[in-house]
Amino acid sequence: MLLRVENVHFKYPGGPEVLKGASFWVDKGEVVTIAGSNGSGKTTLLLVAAGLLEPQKGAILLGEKPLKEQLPEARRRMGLVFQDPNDQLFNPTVYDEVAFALRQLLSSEGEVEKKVLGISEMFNLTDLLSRSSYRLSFGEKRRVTFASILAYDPDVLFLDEPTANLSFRSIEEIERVIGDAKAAGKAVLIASHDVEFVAKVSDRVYIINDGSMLGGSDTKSMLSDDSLLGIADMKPPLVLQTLKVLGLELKGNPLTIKDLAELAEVTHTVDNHQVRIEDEKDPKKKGSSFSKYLLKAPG
Amino acid sequence: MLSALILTGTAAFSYGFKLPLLILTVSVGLILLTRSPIRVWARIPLLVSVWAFLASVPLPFMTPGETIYRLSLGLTDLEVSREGLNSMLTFISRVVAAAAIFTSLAFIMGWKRIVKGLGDLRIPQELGFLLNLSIVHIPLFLREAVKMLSARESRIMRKIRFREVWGVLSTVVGDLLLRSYERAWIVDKAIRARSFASTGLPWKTPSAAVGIKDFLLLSFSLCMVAFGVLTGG
Repeated sequence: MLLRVENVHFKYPGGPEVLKGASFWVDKGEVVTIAGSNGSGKTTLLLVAAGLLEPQKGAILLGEKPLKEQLPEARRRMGLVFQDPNDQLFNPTVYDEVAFALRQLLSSEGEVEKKVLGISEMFNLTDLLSRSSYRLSFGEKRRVTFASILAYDPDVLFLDEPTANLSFRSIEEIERVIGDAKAAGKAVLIASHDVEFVAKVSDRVYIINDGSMLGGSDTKSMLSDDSLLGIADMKPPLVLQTLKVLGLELKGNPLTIKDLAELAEVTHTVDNHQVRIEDEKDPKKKGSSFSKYLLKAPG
Repeated sequence: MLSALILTGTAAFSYGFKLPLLILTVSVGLILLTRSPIRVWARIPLLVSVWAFLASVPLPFMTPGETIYRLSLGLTDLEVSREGLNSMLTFISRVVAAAAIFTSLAFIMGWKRIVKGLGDLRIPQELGFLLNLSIVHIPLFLREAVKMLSARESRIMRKIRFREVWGVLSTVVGDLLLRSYERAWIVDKAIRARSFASTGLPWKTPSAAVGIKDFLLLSFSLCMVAFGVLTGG
């Protein structure tokens, strides 16, 4: 197990207990999401797991050894992308931001430059390197935060609400980065309440509510559990909601529609069950099949 | 950076008018030469001159010397001395010249090179880092202040008096303090998350390249110091 968090309790000075015995684990090549509504303790759990906050009770193990004993050197094995890029970017230029960690790890500025240019190309930041971070758009800032973390190749990635305030194109970019990190054998831990995104990228999901874990299992079974999601003030992905409304089986269908093949899969299920969509404006008109309805739908 | 410090120091510690006026002329020349926004730049020396004037107003009245004007205030008379007036004008010219040369060089260099330059001058790393953090966060702080003000303004449904406006504005101050604390807390976490060494600040920037223009400016700065010493100010 690469990272294991066991029964952690955390309380900010003078405040109520934010984490009440939360536990989870994440292994190499795995994407795990901590899902929960706003204020459920996701960000605090991420900061605790990354060794930036010390829990009052409980243990955090990195590679089966207590994380506390390995700090601060262990931080090079962990990369944390904060929810608000403005909180994370503190260097004069984008170049300095990406180079911040590398300057601690590499001996010469030449090596640093080579690495910075490589990672900047990956994230399409080459033209922005001399700019100040605060002059960038939100999407560009988000790309800089990812580049500054992935530049030093950490083993565990912590992503706090990575899709917040982003356009669909930027979200797709993040999905690609997560896919690449997983393929490279990294452990990815995400805190998010974006169910559609979680359904697309996660292998396993833990649901957190009011600082306690309600449960954790594979993504499909967690995100199709209405009662569990209801407690955490969340809804299942749109595909599952639609199939449920139509009274159809959820088995065998994807959680989200990523491409045409998955769209065909879902419409096939609906057509097989002879579901007809009635025209509300003209009730006399005969209903059409779901797939035809989708094909006729604008866009 | 070194030239900026030398010229600022020379202007600030000069005795007469010649050197500050020369440095002031050089400042304007540099701004014009580099096509920097002169109107934006000029506001700073102008503002400084107003403050310097206010601060030095008592000088002509309290400095002993040859009386050139007597101001009658009923119960008492105020005497304006030549030496006092001279001290006042010298003080203003020194302050304005120092502010003008430093801001003109800061305009030309940009804050990133100032921070880098301070690092190259081997000032404590923490100072450079704190200066950088402050500069980076000023625009964010202003943006947040504007957002807070807009949020309050959008909820004012009637015409309010000037005095009441200050009441609304003062509520922003508390929120800004709180938000600044929160941001400082999370920025600390962000810095620590990427700091791998057990001791010391991991912030380092590569040395700035020194070109022919830098050498020329440094030579000019040293000439100014020599001129000041030889002419006695």
